Amino acid sequence: MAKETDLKTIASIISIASKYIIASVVLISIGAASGVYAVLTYLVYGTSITFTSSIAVFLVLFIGLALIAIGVFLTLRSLYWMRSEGIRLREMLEKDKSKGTQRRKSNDS
Amino acid sequence: MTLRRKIISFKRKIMTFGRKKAPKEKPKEKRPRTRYEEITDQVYTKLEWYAKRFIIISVVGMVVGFDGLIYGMFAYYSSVNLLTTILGFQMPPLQDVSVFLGALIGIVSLAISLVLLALGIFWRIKVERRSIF
Repeated sequence: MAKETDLKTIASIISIASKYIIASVVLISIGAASGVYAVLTYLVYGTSITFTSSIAVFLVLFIGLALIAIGVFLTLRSLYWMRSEGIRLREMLEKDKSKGTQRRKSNDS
Repeated sequence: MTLRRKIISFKRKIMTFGRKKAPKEKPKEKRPRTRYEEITDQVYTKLEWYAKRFIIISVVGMVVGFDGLIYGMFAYYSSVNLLTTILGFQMPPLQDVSVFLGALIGIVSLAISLVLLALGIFWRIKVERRSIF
């Protein structure tokens, strides 16, 4: 029972980690878009940049960079989770296999 | 059914009359063994599906981006500015807006499609090398 629960937990963690990929891609895309918007606004306003426009440029650039950072973090996090849970799963299944072979050997002898 | 068989079955019925039928033993269902390779294969196929979609969407984004850039260019050289030609009179502020929007949509969708392409290729390489687990 405990083993089954463990397996279910590992499977759900891996599936959540694989869904993080989509979230990270969406976040990086929005970040890139807002970065482009900031650069274009800066180019349009040019030297005659006002207080409000400078705040807008700063905010959009900040949000863009933050979203890109969050997206990269999510990608790395999902990779780390998948790797660590994969290793746990492999260890669990190998342990189970070795227990089975030991039982068979003891039954044979 | 021959007569002999009928008699035999009738005899059996008489002999076993009133007895409770023993419940049929269900064959034990063997639990499918979860193998590590099967699970990892499932995850890899899922990731490959995502990567494929990313690449397809990036191609669409590239097309939209180039369309936006071309529209922006046309709007800049106002001879083929769609909005002003349809409306029939010159509107400089509208022209500015259309140039800005065209450039924005074009560059934004190109940037998004580049991001999607890079991440799609990244995940495909990960799946091909089987280097996640």
